[in-house]
Amino acid sequence: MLSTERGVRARAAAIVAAVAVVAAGCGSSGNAAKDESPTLVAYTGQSSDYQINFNPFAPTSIGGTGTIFQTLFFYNIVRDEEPTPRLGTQFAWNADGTQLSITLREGVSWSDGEKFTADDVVFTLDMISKHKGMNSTGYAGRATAVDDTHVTIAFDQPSFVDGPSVLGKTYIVPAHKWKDIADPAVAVVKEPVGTGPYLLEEFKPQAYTLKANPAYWGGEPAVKKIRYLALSGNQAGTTALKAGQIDWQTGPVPDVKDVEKSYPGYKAVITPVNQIALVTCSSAPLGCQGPQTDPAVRQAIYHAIDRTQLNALAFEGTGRDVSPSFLLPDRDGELISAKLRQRTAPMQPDPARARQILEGAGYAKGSDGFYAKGGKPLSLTLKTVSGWTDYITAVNTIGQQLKQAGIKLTPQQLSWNEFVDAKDRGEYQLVIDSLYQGPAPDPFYVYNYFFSTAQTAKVGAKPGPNVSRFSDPQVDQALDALKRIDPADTAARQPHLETIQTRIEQAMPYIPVLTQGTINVYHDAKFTGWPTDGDRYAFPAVWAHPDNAEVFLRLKPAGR
Amino acid sequence: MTLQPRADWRHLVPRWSPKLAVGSALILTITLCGLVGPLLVGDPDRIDNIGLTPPGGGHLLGTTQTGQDVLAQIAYATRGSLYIGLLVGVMATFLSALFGIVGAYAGGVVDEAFSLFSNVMLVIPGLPLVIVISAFVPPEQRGVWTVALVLAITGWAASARVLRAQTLSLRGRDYVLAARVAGERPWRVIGVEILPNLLPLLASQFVFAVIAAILNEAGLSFLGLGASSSSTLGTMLYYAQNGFALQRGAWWWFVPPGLVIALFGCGLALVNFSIDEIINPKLRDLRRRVGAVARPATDPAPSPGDGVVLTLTGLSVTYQGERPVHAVRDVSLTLRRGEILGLAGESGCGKTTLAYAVNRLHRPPAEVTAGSVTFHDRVAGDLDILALTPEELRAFRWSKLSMVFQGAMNALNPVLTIRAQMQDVLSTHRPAMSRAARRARCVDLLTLVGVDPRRLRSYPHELSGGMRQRVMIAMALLLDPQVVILDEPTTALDVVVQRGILREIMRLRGELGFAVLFITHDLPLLLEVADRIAIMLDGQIVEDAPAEDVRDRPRHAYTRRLLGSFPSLTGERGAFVRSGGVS
Amino acid sequence: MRYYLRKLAFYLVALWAAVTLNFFIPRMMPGDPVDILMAKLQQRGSGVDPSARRAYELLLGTDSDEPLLRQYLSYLGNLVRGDFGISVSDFPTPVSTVIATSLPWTVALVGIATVMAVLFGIVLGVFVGWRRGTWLDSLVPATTVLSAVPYFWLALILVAVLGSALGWFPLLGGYDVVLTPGWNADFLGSALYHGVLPALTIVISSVGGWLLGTRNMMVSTMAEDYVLTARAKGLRERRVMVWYAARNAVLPSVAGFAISLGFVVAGSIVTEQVFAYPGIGSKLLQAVQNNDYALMQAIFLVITVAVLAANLAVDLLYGIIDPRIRTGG
Repeated sequence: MLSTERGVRARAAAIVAAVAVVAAGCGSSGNAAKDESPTLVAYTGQSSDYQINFNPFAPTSIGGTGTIFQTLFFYNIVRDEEPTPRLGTQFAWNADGTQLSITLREGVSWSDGEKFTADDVVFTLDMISKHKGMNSTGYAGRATAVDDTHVTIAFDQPSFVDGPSVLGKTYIVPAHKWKDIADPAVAVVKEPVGTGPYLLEEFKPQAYTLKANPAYWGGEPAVKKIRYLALSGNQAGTTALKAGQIDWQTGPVPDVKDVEKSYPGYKAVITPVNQIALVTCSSAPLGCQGPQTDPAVRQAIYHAIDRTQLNALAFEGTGRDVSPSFLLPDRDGELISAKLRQRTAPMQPDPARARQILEGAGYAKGSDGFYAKGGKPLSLTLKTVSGWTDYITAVNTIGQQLKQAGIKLTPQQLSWNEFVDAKDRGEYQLVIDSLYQGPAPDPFYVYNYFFSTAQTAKVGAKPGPNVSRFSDPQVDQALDALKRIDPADTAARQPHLETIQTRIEQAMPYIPVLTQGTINVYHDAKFTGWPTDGDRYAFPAVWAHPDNAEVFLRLKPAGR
Repeated sequence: MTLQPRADWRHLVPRWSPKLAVGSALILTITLCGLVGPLLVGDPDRIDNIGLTPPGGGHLLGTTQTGQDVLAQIAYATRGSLYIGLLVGVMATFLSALFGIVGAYAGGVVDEAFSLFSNVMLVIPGLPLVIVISAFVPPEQRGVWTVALVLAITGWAASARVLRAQTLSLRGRDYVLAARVAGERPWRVIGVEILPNLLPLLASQFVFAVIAAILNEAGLSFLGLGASSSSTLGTMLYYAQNGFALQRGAWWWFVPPGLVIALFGCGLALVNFSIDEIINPKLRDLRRRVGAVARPATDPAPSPGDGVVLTLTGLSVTYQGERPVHAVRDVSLTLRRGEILGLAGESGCGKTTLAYAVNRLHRPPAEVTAGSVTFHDRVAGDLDILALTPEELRAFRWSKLSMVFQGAMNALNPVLTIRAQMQDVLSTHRPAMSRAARRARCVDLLTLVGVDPRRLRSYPHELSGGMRQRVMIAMALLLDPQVVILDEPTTALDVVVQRGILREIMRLRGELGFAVLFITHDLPLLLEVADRIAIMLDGQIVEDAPAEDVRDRPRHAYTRRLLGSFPSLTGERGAFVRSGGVS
Repeated sequence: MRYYLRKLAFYLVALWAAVTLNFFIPRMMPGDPVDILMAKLQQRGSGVDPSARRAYELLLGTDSDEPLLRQYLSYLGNLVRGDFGISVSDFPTPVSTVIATSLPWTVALVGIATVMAVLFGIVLGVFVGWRRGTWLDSLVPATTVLSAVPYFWLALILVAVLGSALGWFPLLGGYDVVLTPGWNADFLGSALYHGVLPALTIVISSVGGWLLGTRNMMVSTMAEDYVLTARAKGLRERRVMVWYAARNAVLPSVAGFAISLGFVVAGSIVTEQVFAYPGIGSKLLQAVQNNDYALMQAIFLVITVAVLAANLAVDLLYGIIDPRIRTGG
């Protein structure tokens, strides 16, 4: 029944033997089958097993957007340039933005051999209109196929700014495959048929593999196989990177300054796109509470932050300048207004200025070193999400910096759930978050998402992205005007952009911190052709789509 | 039935031992670090541009990714962790005491309800509970109290089950029943009778709760769900993980917090051992046996020739300790073949110790300090029992000398059938016997003692007390021993059964011819059945004579007192109460 | 018979209570699955149009203003039918699929490691308790110290030493991703290989508890009369140790073991975090962070059923191994 001493020894021996056998046998399992062409292993940060779904409209689609399915055009958000033709070759708006005419590429076939025609485009757009659950861009047009290669979309309102969503973020699916699907919004697509440069070769829960499409209309890509891995997060990604098991990863890695030394064969490119800001619940009329509703406090914080130190300690020097206009200095440099007090936020703290602003607004320094006004201490809470490694360090650092300036800042870490809830309800004072870009390299989107009254709501009600409850009628008017102007007409747009910029610099509902450099580490020794600082042909994040397809198309195995 | 005395407070204090010393030292050191440390070190939150640096140059334990001093952080973090551990320990112990003890004591519906509640709480997963409860606590209070509350709420249930089980068992004890019958109020009964006896268990559960709290908080913090606005060892580990300490090889950042937790837990565990020893004194560490216990050299008694089977010469047994107890002092006895020698005396005089020592069944701290035990085997001659090797002793036991123990209630293995327990004697001592022969022998002996052989299939608890005792006797005779030692064989049985058993023994002795050493406090019984009687007082034999002589001409004063203290069934009304003198 | 019926009724009540509580807990959590989903998509920086909110609400079906009671009743109904709904965090995979793919990993790794720890602990505990006063006594504090070490910290150290520094074992994952899961030698071998470090961590840190408990019970048992009788009977030492002492001493440990097995799932969360193991613990964490009600409820159900079933099994098992209960009732 129970083992005797002999039994214990026997069991121990059996286990040791088993381990030895397994270890010996597994020596060989480490070698993948050696292809003629190397496989590119990409890690998107997937932290649990993949559940197969290549439906490009599902919010949890695991991939294939850009690689298997394509859009009509590709908008590069990191460079101010014209969109690149993909399934479409040309498009034109009418004068008041209510009609969009698109010319499609000829000679394109689906991966099952059927021809790609305008009917597929119309079908896709109609499907989105019909099933509201798929309409994640607010598409409100009516599409018609003029002939096999021309499509016209009619809108009720001037819809210049909705163009990039339709043209650049809507993935075209084959009508002949999708027309029989009863509920396409929730369909699980296991065998995707697309027009793109890659096909699905194999799916396993911890990795799926794409293979090059020999019949691709642009020619078969040089990288023949791409494998996407599921690991368990940043830590696992870094470990795998060090072991040379991943070829492309986006996210913070330790020692990113010396990537070439710490990860031999790899290079890093840092692309500043998302703008880190301290989001404040700024509007007392809309129900916000706390010292941050006073613009003077927000300005003081803006001047008190030591951005150089922050960049060094929390972001390993990968942060870049940010502008109080929230335009990207690299991409939108010409659009930055000369009327701004400061073109970019100061990298050095200006404690004298901060003191001046606070004392001018009636704050007095107490004996404990912190400012107070009317008996109320200048004490704020700053919320962040546990798990955002760099932000947590940043928040702690900022707290220390503001202490020097006499402002008491208490960092609070919350779970995702609470964080999202706090922003939604407006029950926060400061929150660290980033302002993201829209579907095209056009500053309109940032302003529309984060500064327009239409996207906000009172404290307690659910807002859109404008959680700061900022509401300014002049800004709203300018945004309205921008919607009616053709984006190509920069001269007509500029005055409105300037209005917006100056208003938001004054109010500063979002206190700019730094522009976050999205860190990309790639295996330069294995593949060449990656986007670099000198050639930003796409946003080089591994999870960006359809940008990642653009990268794959340009890559070549090294030495070929 | 004996009434257990109220818990003596002195018995609740742990005995000193190396484990307790090391454990207390660890706990004390770490607690001091937590209390006093923050006053001695710098500011743990001060950031510095030097970034991640190894130990040295002003930072004894190096710095973190933002240039914060690790040593300072450890001091504050220790304090934070200890605070949480203490908080949770107290809360969880209180809750488990409430639901475990009160529920079990109250019994009935309350007990069922509380027990159901405990089981359900055991099942609720703690992780989402953390988040839910966090949302209801105002942000200023959030942090230590939130996490502590959640850990306490999710951690009390297991402890409650343990306390409930113990309380249920205590509830049935005599002194509790006595208190209830006396009309004491429930709270007083719980507080005065039950709680003190549960104190060691409560203390042990408290220590477990503290260890578990610190470990769980560390785990929660590691997942990023911990007390965010406070500093504990768990949050330090979280930040270390956050800052890629492992990948960067910054061992000075993630090793110390874990080490402190480990050492503290270790200290608590060692202290818990000492508490365990209070609960169960048998757990006390034995002094390492450095070899066989040295036995004073005495010559074995020479063979007396005239049918003596067992000789004890000057046997002394002492319980070693701070104050040695001389349980058996210089005892010399002879047992002749086929004779019934009675050994009488009051409880605690050393009779059982003597019996065990004869068979070398005594265990440390009992030690034979002088004398010899010689067995005069019919076949093999004289055997010096105290000098036998372990293997020889094993072969000797039961085959030459067997025992029937006091209270067969517990002398039979509850999880084996009667057949298994009887047969293993045969298969060990007579390996050559076939299965059929073994079975036949068991059947024979059971029939001999008057037990239905079908009972071979039964388990001990299925037999009555009297039957069990008969089985024990049958078992004792399996190998045809030459001596059978009976230690109070009928004390726990009613007089009718007692009569029957004794008659069996006499009959068997007549048939099989073994000698009997009959140990009891019941002198009148011995006067009836024994051939010779020895009286024992305080470890010494004060009288040793044939039974008639003891009855008619007792020589020792104590013997006279013993004889005089048994009530008489005949005589005048009220005259049964003896004065203690000779009638 | 009445005893068994009462026990069964008790467990059914406990099951209902736990299920109901598990229904309410996720709904009391702050945040809304749609918001969280959008926040997660936005974190990637590729931007999500604000109009996506409405679309996702419809998609995920979380826009319900249904009264709570109606939701509860349909939840119970679905439970009985075996329909656990669709996972929000792995949309649109059904929850039962998510659990079916991840549960075996947890059961295999953590379950087997726990069984190993229990067996080692009990066997060693029997020996340590039997042979008191020898060097074996030092095993007790040694293993208890190991139990006091924070489990994940031990895991990190093992990974750093055995995985990174010495490179003897893989650092993370359940198996080598190039292999196909299935009953083939390559995959099973790889799975075993990847399972060594996690299993080692579990065994090292939990063996102490079992050892201590068993040893204490052995010490108590050895003072019992029947052990004394066994020794007096001149039985071989091994027989006394196993059949008389240990057989009685480990009964309580069996109860503890069955119950601890029920908690394997809940306790596997940290393990799977550290080792990136594709088990159900990481699914629970994912569900919690995404307010994925359906997945959370299903995993809670798994834990609840496991614990209650373990309790029930223990009660039944006791009847078998302890004859006093079986025949005495």
